[in-house]
Amino acid sequence: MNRPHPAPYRDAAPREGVAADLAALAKLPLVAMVMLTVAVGYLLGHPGTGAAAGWARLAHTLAGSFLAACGAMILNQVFERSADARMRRTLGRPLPAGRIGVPEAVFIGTCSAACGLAWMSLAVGPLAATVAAATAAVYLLIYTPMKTRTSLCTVVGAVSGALPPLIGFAASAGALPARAWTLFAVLFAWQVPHFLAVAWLHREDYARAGQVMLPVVDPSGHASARQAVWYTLALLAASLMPTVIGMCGPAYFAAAVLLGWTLVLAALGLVVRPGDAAARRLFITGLIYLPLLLAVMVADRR
Amino acid sequence: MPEAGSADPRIAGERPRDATWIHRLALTVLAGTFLLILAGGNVTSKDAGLAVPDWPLSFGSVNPAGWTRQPYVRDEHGHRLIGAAVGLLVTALLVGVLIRDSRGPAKALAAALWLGIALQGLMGGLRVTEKSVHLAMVHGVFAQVVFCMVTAVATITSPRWRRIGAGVEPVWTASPSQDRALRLLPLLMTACLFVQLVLGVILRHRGSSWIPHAAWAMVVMLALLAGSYAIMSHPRARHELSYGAVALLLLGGVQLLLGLVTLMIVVHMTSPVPATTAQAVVPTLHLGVGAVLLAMSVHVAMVAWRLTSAPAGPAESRT
Repeated sequence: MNRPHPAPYRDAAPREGVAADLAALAKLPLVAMVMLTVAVGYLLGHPGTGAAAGWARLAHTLAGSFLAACGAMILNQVFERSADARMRRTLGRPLPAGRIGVPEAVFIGTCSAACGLAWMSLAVGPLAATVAAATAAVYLLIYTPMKTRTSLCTVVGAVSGALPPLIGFAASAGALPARAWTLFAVLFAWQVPHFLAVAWLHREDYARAGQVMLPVVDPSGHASARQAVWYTLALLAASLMPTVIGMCGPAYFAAAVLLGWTLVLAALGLVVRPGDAAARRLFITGLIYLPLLLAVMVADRR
Repeated sequence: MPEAGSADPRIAGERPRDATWIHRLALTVLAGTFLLILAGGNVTSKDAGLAVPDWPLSFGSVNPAGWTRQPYVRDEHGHRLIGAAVGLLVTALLVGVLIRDSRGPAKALAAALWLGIALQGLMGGLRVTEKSVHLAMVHGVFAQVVFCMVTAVATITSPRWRRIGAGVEPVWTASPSQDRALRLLPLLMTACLFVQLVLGVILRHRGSSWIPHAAWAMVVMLALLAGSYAIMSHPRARHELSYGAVALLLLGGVQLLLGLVTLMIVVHMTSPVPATTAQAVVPTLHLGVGAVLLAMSVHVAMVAWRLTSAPAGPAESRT
């Protein structure tokens, strides 16, 4: 409890140099995760492989998504700069540390988001651009202000985190069929226990910043642990749906079962022995779970 | 699972030596029935059910010459011989219980088991003479019902059952909700396992989609977790039945892995006849572990029920 909490993302430590500051401002590890889910959505929405998968269109989708996501992350840091200044984990970010000014950040963030959405709209299509805009809007206009008001912010944050694969689907399929929403359900259910674990590990920081994450308002941790279990069970059920609807085959089903139960057991660990160690295990298990699940999903797609 | 050993000497009115051999005979029947289920599963896995076309004799003989040299005939006739041996053992068990066990429920269970095994044999024979897939499915499901009945007899004749019912244990104070959970969750678990068994039999005999069976496995795993939790959170059950909770979780994990391996193996089969040893052995192993899991669940549900309804003992109170 008294030792420093590990940072879940490598953007906590102060960095030197403009490039490093811009990377921290854009939360590149998070953007990389967004890009991964966009790419997975694209590949699952496209029936072909290789050249037939439309690599050029995928490149346009990723480029537009990259810029839009970077813009959203930067603007999020602008909105949260006061809170970031009060948290040990985020104190060293470029805005609270004063290495980048607010006007510059607003300019870079707005330009990046606008360019990303315009690129997507012109090179990919209006549906993908609309979903990308909706993702940024939910993240910036609903989730970010909710963080200081209600612990339900985690659920809203999960919506914005689950939308990127729909961008990929919209780009490749030109529509949002049931299989797209299946992927949305998987991502949504994954986000909640993941962010509950993050919030648990940094609950003192969040409390200092006035952000009412569930582990902050639930000092015993029982409600957080229970919710983590329920969402991992929901994730297990959602992760089987791609096979049930014929999007993936039995190899994916087997992987989803094994990975899903591993995550459920990690969440149960938090119920049995609430504490930082169990929360860290859940966090790390979740980080391993998602890329593996998505990789098998793409490999065994039908 | 039910255990062998001498009956508790503190229990008045019982004959420890008789109780012990009856229980040991029940355990022998349990092992024989398990072997019978594996043999039956092997017959289904290899699609060898009609390798011997007549019944009750095999090719007009009790033991046809050279039956061990033809693989499918060996599987089917071997299954019949094991079945006959189990039938004799069950008859001996019924006689033993009727003569030496004074308890009505034990006698009733043993009699029901004898009727069950006779009916099971009859269904197996009719499945051959009528060439009926539906009867084969009912035969497959009822095999597990019989295995559960043997488990019930082995449990009710066990020293543990008698000791719990005699009220010689200390009083373990549990809340009404803990008692209710211990009574109901293992029953729910058993029901979930039985549904899973039926889905598995339909899958094996009809070749229908594997998805309902695989998806229900998740519900079964949840039920196993809930049942184990009910045991471990109940003071008296934690003392008496923790082995059951551990066994259920271990068997559940093994069964889940076996199921996934079976899925990966069977999904590539283009014909109902297995082309490799793995295609024949792994599904049978999956069926066998499933049977043990169901039997363990029945045993746990019975002991859990007993624990919540047995009289309190005279010793000191514990929590």
